[in-house]
Amino acid sequence: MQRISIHQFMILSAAILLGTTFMPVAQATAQTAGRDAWLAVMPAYSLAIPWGYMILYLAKNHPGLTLMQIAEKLLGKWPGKGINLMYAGITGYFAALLSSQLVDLFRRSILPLVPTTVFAGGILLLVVILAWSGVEVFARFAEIVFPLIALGLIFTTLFSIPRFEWGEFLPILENGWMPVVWGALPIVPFAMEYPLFLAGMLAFLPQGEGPRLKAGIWRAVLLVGLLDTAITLTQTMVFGPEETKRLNYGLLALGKMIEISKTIAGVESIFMLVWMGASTLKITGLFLGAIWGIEQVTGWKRKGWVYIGVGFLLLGINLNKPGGAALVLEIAWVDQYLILPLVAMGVPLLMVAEFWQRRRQRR
Amino acid sequence: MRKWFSLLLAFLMPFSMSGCWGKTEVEELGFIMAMGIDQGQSPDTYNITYQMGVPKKGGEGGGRSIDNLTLTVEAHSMRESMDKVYSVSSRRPFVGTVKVIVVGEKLARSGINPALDFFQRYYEFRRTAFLVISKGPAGQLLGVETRQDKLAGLSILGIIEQSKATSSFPVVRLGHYLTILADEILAPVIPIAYPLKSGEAGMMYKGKEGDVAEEIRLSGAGVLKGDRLKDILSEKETRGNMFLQNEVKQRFITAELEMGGKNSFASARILTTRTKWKLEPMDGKVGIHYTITGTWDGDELSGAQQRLSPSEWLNQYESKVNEAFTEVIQEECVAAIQKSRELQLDFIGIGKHIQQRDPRYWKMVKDDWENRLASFPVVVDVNLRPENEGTTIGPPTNPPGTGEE
Repeated sequence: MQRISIHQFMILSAAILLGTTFMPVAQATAQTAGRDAWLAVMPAYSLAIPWGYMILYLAKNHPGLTLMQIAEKLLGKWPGKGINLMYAGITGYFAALLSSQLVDLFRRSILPLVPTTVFAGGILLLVVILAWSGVEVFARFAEIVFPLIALGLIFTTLFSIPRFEWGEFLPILENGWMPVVWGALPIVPFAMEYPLFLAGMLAFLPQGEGPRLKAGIWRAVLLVGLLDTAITLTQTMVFGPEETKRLNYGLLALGKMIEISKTIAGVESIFMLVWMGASTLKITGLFLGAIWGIEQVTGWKRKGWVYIGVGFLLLGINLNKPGGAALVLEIAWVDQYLILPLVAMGVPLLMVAEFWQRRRQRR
Repeated sequence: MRKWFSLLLAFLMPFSMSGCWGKTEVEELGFIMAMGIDQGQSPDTYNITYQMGVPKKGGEGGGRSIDNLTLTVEAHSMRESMDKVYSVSSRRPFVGTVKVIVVGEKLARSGINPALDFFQRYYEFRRTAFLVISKGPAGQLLGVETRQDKLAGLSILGIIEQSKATSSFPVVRLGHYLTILADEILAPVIPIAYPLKSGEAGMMYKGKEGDVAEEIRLSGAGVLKGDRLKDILSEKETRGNMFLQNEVKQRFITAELEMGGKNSFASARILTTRTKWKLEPMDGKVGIHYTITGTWDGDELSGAQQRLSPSEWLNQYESKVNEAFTEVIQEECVAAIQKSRELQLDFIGIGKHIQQRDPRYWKMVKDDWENRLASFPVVVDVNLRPENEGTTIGPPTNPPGTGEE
């Protein structure tokens, strides 16, 4: 079994948590939280910590097993398989939606005429190769790409300062905390997407490193929370709250506004490559989740044709998806009505089953 | 399996070598520098002016080697207008390079949002493009072949980029306008551009075509209610507004002096300036107190010829000159406040300050803010400080005892 280091675990966690959430985060939170949207980001992401800790707790009691294997062990074979099938379906479908989102990002910004098939095919080919190469290679890929993503976001924030409309973020908490709480709700699923990957990654984690793994989780959450908070605040400062609500993928608009002196402008196409890296990491993580789910349900272990088959399935879904607001809404729907309930209830359910089983064993 | 997979990859890779779909070579692009929008002749149409600068083949360097391709088309929509441009242009019109968007005064008075939707929505445009309102039709302004830059769009861009030195009009980008527009309090202001004939506004130049404008001037600003141009601020009101909004970077200032007799004045450059504000009780009500601080470098002193020693300059002149400059800025600010009250439009952003500092009070007054603005207490303090008096203490003087002093 391949193992990844603690550092790789932290980077992978951050990469999966972040994904391309920096694209919709400001618009999603600003709908309700308005100019206080940036305050809603960190609390929403912090929910990944207790859920991550619960999964690590289960892993500690069932060393070397994935959460899918633990589910079958704790809930029984068929209920466990049912949940795992649901997990594989949702994770795979979400990976397909995110690949559609990446295609949409390219087509709406710099390459409007390139056929969807080329983008989707290229990305999914890369995803299948990465996934087939194994978690360790995937982790090394993340170690190279994630710092570029973080730097890209920091660069965008810093070079947007000349465009700041100072005062747009004031007054803070004009309508109290409730709009912030409601504003955080649409992005709580962002935090819940992380356990989807962690569920399968458990089998690749170093054994007996519980405290360090926990530290890895909260560090990743802190890093991603800060990055998304910075992007949300930047968009609020540049566009104002009303424009932030209106702009689809405000980060792309920010990238187009960056001008360094008179000579450097139009750097958004360079950024697009970085955002593609972010999307690839997330899609690969979810693709692996879908594969692990299928493997657990069917018992097929590391079959190449399964990887290729799932890749084509995702491609098929991708090609039939519209772009724009329809896609954004569908992603939000899957996030809120499929991923959120599955993770928010599934992990505590396993915890209850674990406690109940231990109590029964003690008797 | 791995071998087959590698073969599949090797087969697929060459397909990516042909590059991007629908790519256009640089030589095939028509870089649009500026766009103008006016009301069309037919109902519900626009006259849209595209200004393309095409480098002359084999031409010498500099602005003179650019061919001015300016084209106005009448269309119902921006996209339809581009359709028409395609039909006559051998180059693909590329709007990603649009730096200046000029809106005709008539269209501005009837509302500019419908025309700007395209600029906000179409991905090629940048929100950093500058927005100006032309006095008269935008097409006419962009049709001015300026003596230096040839392209009106380039001239406007140059004037805007140099405006830091004079701060005589606000710099407004498309993105800024859209942000302000979404705000329920602040009324947008957009600078005004004029075609300038020789002899107008006290400026003379030798043109080549008689009574035709060959220069462009930016001065003052239009105030909008929502997206409709309501009124045009004078240069004095515009500068006052810019001071109150802390938008003045540097500027030139001239003030008449009481001492020194007739036609006595001093001029300076304002080097640094900063405006702070705070809400405070005034006559039992909430009011706003602006404090403007700044430093100046003396550039010119005109009046009675008098030889001055350093102490005479300091004791007799410097403080008087400082007071005169202070008074000029004070008057500009008061003029801006009066205009805001008269129009019942908060283009200065007083309401915005109240909202930021005292949101509870703002909630109480916001529904009636336009009416309350007229009597809302505003105090402006100007605290200038001389940085230096220039390279000399006194003006050039004739020798004493010659009877010419």
